[in-house]
Amino acid sequence: MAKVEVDEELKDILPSFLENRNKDILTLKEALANNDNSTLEKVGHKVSGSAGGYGFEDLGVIAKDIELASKAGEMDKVKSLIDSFEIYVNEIEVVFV
Amino acid sequence: MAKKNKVILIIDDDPDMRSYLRKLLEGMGHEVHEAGNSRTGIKIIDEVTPHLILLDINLDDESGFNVIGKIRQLDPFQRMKILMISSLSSKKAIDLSKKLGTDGFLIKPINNQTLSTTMKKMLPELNFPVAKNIDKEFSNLMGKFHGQIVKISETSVILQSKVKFFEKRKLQIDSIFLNRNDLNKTQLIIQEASKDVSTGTYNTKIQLIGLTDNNLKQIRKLNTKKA
Repeated sequence: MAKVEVDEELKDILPSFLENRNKDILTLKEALANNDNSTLEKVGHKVSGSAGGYGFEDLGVIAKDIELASKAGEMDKVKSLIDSFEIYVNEIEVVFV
Repeated sequence: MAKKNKVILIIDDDPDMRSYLRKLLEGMGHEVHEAGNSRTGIKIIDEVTPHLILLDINLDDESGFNVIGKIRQLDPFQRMKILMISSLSSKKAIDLSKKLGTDGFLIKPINNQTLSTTMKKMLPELNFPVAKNIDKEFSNLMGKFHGQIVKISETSVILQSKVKFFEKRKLQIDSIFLNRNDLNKTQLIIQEASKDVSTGTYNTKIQLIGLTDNNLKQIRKLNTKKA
């Protein structure tokens, strides 16, 4: 996992952002198990909007892909993207700049 | 030169997005308020009269496009500026925002640089009008705003609000507090220019003239109750 550079200014709000992404992993897995595409789309949409601002552009791209694949009903792709989402969040290494 | 400290409201259902924007905007020296839905957003707008509203299109409770109409009902002269924020980068969404009278469009993800450039560009527009040269005898200026009487004595009251008064003028206030305490017939005169309390909040000392014995008794009672 590559190191991610995050603006020093965001240091105190970053823990809450990462905690919410851990919650998203559970929500995404549960939604996938229940074929709840609306929740998958919603979480994907939300994270694609905020992740880039914090410095996690790649996470934003994964989230956008989850939104689009859910919309298209491509559930195998969604599953693999959720795995990527989880790996990214678990292996994040932040460097404040 | 436009003053940097502005009052800004963020209406977005994503708490991480709100925290992020708040952090950056406060870092630029602005006073920031947050709402997670349109209902709370409208309530805050009515209370704090922000210079700028950052409005997400995809809110949980309703579309941001609907909220624009509600904002304009409170602000028919479009003094408050609206910046739409959304992941939708479609031309249709941007065109609709323009048509509905918003002042710009920010596409998520929003980075520090984009926000900073947009704010710099918008800053000169984020000013509320100042009423000048109002004729003392013949002119009336009427306005509706939230305020709070934070202090009352037997000679004056301190009104805390978002309105800054500059001159000694007669004032009429239709206030529940004054009505309830039978002070609505008292003549009110702004005693001196308003003083800054915090960003965009001012204390105005207003002289009370023509108080009756009952009024004075009521004021003493109020202050005893408070103490």
